[in-house]
Amino acid sequence: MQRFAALFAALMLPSLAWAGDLVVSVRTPAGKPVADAVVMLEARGAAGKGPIRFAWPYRMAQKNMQFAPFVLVVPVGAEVSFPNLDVVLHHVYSFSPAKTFELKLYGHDETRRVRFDKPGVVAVGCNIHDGMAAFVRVVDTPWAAKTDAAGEAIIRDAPEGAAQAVLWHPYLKAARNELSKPAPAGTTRLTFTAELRRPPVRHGGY
Amino acid sequence: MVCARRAATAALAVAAALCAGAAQAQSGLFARDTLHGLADVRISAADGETGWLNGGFGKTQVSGGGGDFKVKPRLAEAALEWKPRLNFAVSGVVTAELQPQTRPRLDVGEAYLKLRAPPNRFGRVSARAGLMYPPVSMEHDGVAWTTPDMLSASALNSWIGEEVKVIGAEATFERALGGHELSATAAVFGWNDTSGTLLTFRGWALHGIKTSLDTGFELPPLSAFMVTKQSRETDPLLELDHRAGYYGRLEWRPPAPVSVNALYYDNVGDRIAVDGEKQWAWETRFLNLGVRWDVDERTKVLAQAMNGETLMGYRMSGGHWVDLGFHAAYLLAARRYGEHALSGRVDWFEANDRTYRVVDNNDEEGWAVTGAWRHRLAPWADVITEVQHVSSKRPSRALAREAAKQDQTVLQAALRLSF
Repeated sequence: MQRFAALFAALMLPSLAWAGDLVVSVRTPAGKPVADAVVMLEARGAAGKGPIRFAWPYRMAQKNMQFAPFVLVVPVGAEVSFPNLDVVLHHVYSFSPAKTFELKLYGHDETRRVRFDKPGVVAVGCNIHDGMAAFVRVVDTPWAAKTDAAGEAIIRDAPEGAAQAVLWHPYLKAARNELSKPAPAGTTRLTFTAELRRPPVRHGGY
Repeated sequence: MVCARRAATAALAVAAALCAGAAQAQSGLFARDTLHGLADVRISAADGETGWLNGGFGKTQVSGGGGDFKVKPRLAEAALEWKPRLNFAVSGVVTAELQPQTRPRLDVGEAYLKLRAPPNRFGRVSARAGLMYPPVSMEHDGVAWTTPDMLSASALNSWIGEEVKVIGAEATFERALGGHELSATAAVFGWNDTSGTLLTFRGWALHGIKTSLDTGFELPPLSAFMVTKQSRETDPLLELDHRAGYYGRLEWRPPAPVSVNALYYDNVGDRIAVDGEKQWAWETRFLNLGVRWDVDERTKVLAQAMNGETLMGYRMSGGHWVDLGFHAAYLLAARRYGEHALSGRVDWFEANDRTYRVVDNNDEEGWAVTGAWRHRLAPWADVITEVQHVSSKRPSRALAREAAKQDQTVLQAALRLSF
């Protein structure tokens, strides 16, 4: 019973907001939840304790000819693994200024690692499968999170003072794909309205 | 035939190049995703005239029964597509085609090497070389150059399938500018000298037939003016004049669910080059424009338009033996509903003969409406049902003792198995 309770708590924990947490809700103008949007808090003077660490794995798998997750948030200096869970070969690359890398052809159940040493947006692709696209958002703030399917992100232990909240999504209709708004001291809930572009046409064939 | 053999040699050279790379890259050569295949078993019923594959002027791959519908179950096509990977940037494509309605039945469809390196900050370079289709059709994105949702291609792309296949080399440069993606392609090629022959003497058609390395298409009855000059069969993959042709293509993908492309093709044919079997080099050029609009995640709209001309033979007081302008366009809309996809297409086509119309009139005008329903039974099995109506006017049908104006309705249902 105790074990069950612990499991229940573990399952519920990520979706429950505690005192000190900031819940950010992102919706389209039509009211639909926006998943995979990254929320970052910039707080002047405030700093986290020790090196930045997030609770989720720094991992971007290739599964069913897709990257999973589509958007991954990691701190500067993080080492991300790129396991190939497909039976076909993949060739993962990025030519983004924040991190240029190439993981030459590797197969089923093999993995490769990349260290992301600069903050910014890293667009990831596969040289074999043009339809595969994903993004690594490398952040230098401990207060960052990604929205879930319900369009909600929870930033743990948000700074007490005033901060600036920045929203980023790869297809956000805004300059540099970013929006920002102030989060006054004591804010526990913040809402963004974000209009998304349609993803670019991915063409196979020739 | 000598030239056909030369074409075969060139394609074999590509195959040899693939094998040469084999030793270093075992893993990518026969991995699970390198081999795909397709089989299409079909029943068809049609009214109207005799089809072009049976010696007539009919515009579809089905012959009518002289006013009555008749049903014929048959294997329409089987194909194997092998895409070996030599390393991270170099791969190959080799397709074997079995098409019972063509001669030979079994042949090599495409065989080319493909280079595609990851992009750098300047852009991305890719290249293809070998036996291949120029990037004209926006409909043929299935296995082995097939149309996944429909049984017949547009008139425009059916002609590409018949008479616009080359042995050549092509390079593409892609670059993103702001949110816009631009790509530019340039190619030189040979072995496509007879392109325009079938289009001139038979006219436009709508089907799923593809030319292969050694395919010869029988022409419908020729006029007394042409019958002594031109072979009764046309071989689309021939090099006769030893001049290189070229094509160039531009594509623009703005930050919207739209892409636009334009391709210009010129085979630079020497109109008076001919072989012992009366296969002539035709001077054929065209401009193709294409637009794709992904209306939403389930709905797409495609449109292409082509304007071209083809010339052949000696120039006499009345002009060249053949001087034909050709034009075609289509608009296609397709929408997916779970395991189902509905497609509708409207085709328009015409050809204007500019010389010797009194003795050899190759004028044509026509339209077609096509509706198709694809039902996915399993990831490896689809049932596609298509209904098509083609209406066209072609004075040269008199050579087959047929009325110039013909209408045909075709009903087809196919079980398509693929892996």
